[in-house]
Amino acid sequence: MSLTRELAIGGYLAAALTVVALELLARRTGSRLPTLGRLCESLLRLRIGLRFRAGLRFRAGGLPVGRIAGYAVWCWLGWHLFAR
Amino acid sequence: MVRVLVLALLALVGALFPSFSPAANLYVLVVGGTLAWLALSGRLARRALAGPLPATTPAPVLVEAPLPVEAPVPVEAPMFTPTTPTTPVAAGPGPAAREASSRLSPAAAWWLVPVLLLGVVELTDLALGSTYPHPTLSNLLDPVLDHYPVRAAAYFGWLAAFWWLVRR
Repeated sequence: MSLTRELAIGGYLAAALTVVALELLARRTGSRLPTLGRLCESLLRLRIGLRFRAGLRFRAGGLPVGRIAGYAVWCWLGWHLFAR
Repeated sequence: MVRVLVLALLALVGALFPSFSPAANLYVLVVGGTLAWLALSGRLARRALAGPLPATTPAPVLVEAPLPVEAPVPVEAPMFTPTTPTTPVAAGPGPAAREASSRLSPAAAWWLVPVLLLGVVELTDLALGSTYPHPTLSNLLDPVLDHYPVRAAAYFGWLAAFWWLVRR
């Protein structure tokens, strides 16, 4: 096994361990760090709306970009791992 | 329980198709596309909202559901930001608690650490050719996913996480 391969695997493991560590920290009582689930929920709620001003102000639409991006990324991940 | 069985069945079938086969491509795209369509069309959210809600549920909870085109959006909702309420609600299951939990503290930036770490390693290996000395994550996972039980379990995990995302 080459050194660069070991470094790459170490990098992936470090990223995974960081996720576990952050999740454990987030689950502590009183922690201000959001859990991974809460973070994903917030990102899914991201919307971009169009606001018009014509006498009365109102906001129309509200494109759920967070959901579209989230589902697209997850679809791509599944396709990448199981199909391509 | 029924949902778990359906997801397990989908995973067991999906894992039968080998990578790079047309059937595998079609299957994963149909399953993923269907789940995404269910979520974006708001069918699952409307069903969830149709259930009994506590009397103290704040009005902004209705914003949580993927809205139909003609649905009104609050005038004062901030643009280019997550639509979050300002009233804190006690943590717990249900839409109201999820709504309250959507406001992120600055500490959430710590989650960028694993994202950036993974991104740097992945992009570096990809730029270096995605070879044995420079493996991307999918290169490392492909030999593992060749085994049917592991592939089915991973497929189930992907579907379960997708279902979780759809239900948010």
